[in-house]
Amino acid sequence: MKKIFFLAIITGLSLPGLAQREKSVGIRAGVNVSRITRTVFTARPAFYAGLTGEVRINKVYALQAELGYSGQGALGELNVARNYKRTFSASGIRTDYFTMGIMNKLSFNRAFSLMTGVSGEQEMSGHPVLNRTADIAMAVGAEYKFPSGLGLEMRVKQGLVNIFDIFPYTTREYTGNLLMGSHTNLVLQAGMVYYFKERK
Amino acid sequence: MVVITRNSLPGTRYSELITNFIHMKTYCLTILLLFLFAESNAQTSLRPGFRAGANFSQITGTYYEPRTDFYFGAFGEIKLSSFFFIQPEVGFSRQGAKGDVYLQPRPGSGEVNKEDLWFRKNIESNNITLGVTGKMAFSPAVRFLFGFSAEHALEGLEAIKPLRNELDLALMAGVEYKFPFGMGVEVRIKRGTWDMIDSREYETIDSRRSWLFGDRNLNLVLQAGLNYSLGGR
Repeated sequence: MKKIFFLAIITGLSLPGLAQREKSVGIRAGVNVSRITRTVFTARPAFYAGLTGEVRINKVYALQAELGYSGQGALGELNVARNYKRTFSASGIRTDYFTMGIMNKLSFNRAFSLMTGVSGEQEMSGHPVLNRTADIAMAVGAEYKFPSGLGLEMRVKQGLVNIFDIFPYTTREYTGNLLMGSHTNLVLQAGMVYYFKERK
Repeated sequence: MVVITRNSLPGTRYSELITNFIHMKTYCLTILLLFLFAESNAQTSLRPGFRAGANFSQITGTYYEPRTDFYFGAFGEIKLSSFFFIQPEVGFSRQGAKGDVYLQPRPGSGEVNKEDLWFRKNIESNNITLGVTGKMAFSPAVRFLFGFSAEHALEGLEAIKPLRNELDLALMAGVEYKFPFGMGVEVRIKRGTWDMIDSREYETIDSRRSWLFGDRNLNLVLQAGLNYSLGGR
């Protein structure tokens, strides 16, 4: 607890020190193809959009903070009965996530970079079949940036939290592990980024 | 290299090692901190301002619908550097959820009529909020916000009935776009950390519980609004 508190203070105090670094703001948007792992459902197409703020530490490495919306979920027939004879039937699970993340970006040259990072996600639609409304996700991706500031990006995002637990719709592969083997979000993101002109 | 395990040493020695390690770390971090401050002791300034807008609030892990309401407040923006600001805030926020509240049937009471368990319509609470927001300015106009706040309902526990806490601690993240004349547009998402509805007493979506990711019944608010800071951005 003490350690976490201390870390939080350190992070907070070190943030003003980033003032001298080169920074840029970008907009990112594109297509999501998402599914919930180890369930009978198929993939659901959706979209994502967000803002990204990049702090360049040096030529090779940049830190990138991100905030945005990500539509996820899965498609498939679903009939669930709950207490008070509450029933839900839907042709899929539509979830709306608010995501905030930090990406580490390794730039091989001015155009191409690989990135990996973690994001905290909050489900906003309150879908009744979901186990949990919060999620932590890991993402790996690549970006190709043109000199104009426009770029293409592609990512794979894997949730770490078991978000769906209704038995007939899960497959036998369930192992209950936190990292692998539970019913987590799995999203393929492909889209565009636009970085605004960097300020002096 | 000596491998130290919990079993190979008496408890006191082991804890000593840990405290030594922590002390050493503290020294390093303090020195690091001094450097960071030396880099960033530019002029600090405080700008007061006001904020107001719409709340779209819900309670997670329940069957209730989101509810639309409003918030307003005042803040002081302390500019620590051109990148990082700290903003203490005080405000008023109307929150809650829409929909029928049902009591949980007593175990062993057999078949129950749903209407007998009906308790009330709508949940609403008027909260005083006290918070601290950190702002990261990736450009002079675009800032990323994160922070936490303490919230206290003004009514008694009886008036906000399905809710079981008057007090809540909330985590917040958001984004703000600030125009040069001081007006800003902001969107925030605020998530409480304390369970607000007793699932044994009222109907909620039953699920497993854990501190952060369990399906507890937390306040979840999307705030969208305008702010204005005196003296420009």
